[in-house]
Amino acid sequence: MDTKAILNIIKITIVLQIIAATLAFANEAVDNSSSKVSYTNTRTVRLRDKHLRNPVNVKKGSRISLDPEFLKKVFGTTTPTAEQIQQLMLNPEEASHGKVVTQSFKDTNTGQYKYDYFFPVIVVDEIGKMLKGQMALQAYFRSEFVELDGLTIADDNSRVAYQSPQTSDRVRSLIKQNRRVTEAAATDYCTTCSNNPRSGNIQDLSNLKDVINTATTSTSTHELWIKFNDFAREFASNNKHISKSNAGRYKRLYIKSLIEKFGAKDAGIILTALTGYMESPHRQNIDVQIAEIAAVIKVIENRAQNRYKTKSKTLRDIGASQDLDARLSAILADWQFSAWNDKDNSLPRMLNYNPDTADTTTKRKLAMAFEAQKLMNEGNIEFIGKMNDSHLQHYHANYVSPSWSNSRKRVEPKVKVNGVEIDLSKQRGAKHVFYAEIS
Amino acid sequence: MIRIDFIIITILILANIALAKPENLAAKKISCSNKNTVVSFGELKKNYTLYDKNSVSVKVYNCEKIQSGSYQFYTVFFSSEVRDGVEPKKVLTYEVILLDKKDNQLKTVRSETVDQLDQSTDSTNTKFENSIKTGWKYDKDKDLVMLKVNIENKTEKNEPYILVFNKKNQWFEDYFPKSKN
Repeated sequence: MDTKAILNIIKITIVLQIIAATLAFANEAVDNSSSKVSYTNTRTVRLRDKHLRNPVNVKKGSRISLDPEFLKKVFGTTTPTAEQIQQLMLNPEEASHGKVVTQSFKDTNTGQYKYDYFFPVIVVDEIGKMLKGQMALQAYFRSEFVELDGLTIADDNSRVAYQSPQTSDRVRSLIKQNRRVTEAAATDYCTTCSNNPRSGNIQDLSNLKDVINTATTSTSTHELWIKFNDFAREFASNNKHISKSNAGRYKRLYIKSLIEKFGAKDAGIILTALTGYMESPHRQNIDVQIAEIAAVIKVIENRAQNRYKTKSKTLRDIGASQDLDARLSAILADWQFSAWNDKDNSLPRMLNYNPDTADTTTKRKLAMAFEAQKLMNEGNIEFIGKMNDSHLQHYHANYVSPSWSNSRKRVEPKVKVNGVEIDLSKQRGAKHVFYAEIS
Repeated sequence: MIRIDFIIITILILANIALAKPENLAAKKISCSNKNTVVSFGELKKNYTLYDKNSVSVKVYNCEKIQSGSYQFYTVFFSSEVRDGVEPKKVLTYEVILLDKKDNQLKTVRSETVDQLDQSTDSTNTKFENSIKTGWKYDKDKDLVMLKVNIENKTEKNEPYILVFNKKNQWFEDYFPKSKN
């Protein structure tokens, strides 16, 4: 073979390699252009440019994916797990270790400047047109507007770090389904044997039964969690078409059924747990999450005790007296806890909760909401300073500014959970601001 | 041969059944005006403060009057900004008011939230999407007033539901047929 021929072969080989590399890049680009976790918007949402200006509407039915470069920056991979994405949606700042923070933007409806989390996304609409931009995802994830694929599969092998072994064991035992109360309680007691002043080395279940019978609310909350899941399973199975437009009606059926099945007092305890779950910011650390939930529950209990606001359309709508149960009145008082407003975005999600299909994060947080009440009753949660004031009756998210907050003094939100002091104001992401002594 | 008395009895029974059926009540549109949460019904020359008295930006769309036997109801369909709670909320409400003939006072006997605008940031939702359709019935034998409500939405088909006026509680309460829950 002569030199010219060899050179030609080399040239062709180089060209072929360049073509192959280009194709590989193109394929990679195509693969990376749609990350494995994507979602479909069920209502029109807004897309902005990288400066959060020039908003355009994205029609429902479009496929929205997080930009792979962003995913790599946050998670070190373009294919994070479904749970990682869910954590990111629930508390972006915490899940991203501070890489994602709120940004200021001009609200198109009001012209005011607001703050929200924005994520770089790739949108492919129904006709295949592709757009890139920034989208305020967190708000949509919390509502019924976004169906996030792959998050309904329970992930029991979650690698979220628990910081309090006793608490994590108790929570794990709570989220296991179809366990008899005595069996669940035995595990619970044995797990915390060294810390539980009422327990010793409990081997004999008949002794344990006596302990359960004498322990009142601390055990009943545990049993309520199990029975509540049975109720939720049945309700969700029998009422499949709950949406924002009809949620008010189903809410009334839900509460009426809860009262009929559990009695007013236990219905009040259950609703307290559900409200703590819905209202509290999301945290990955269990002790912190329980502290957040407990702070909400503290406000509910204070309002119940002080009969702060009791006028409730919901109770009247189902023929129940406003004095049926103080917690019920406090929670269902008109417009007070927004999660229970007839047409609130988060109400359908709560009514549709089914333990058989709910993801682990949801079940874990709900279990913690029941556990928080138990810990409060046992004295294992301590509210520090003004957080223990019986007039601690108000809170709001740090990104809103209600008129009644202007002239009030904020309370330092410190809570002790199982001996661990937690400052809620130092947590990453959305926070609650607490007030006492508002008339 | 069929006995005449048997025929008469049968006719009477059938007539009784027909008469026992609830009768439809007509909701008559009436004039009304408002100064924020205070509504005036033209014919009554009485003012009434809506249920959520702290609301602002109240816009009344229509008012109706429903009369049956001893009952006289008024309805107000309006939008407003509710200021109770943490953040103001824009809501669409259908309110039912009873004129109590004993003391000639007006009182709210139902306040139904028809729609609420999405409060999440960067929302595209600026208009109400739901509307309400109602039907009124009166059962003379049981002295029962019933209100059939259908919250209508362009994209979702909802089932109507029934509210029944509870005389003792002075409120229209949800009627839930006996079911699994």
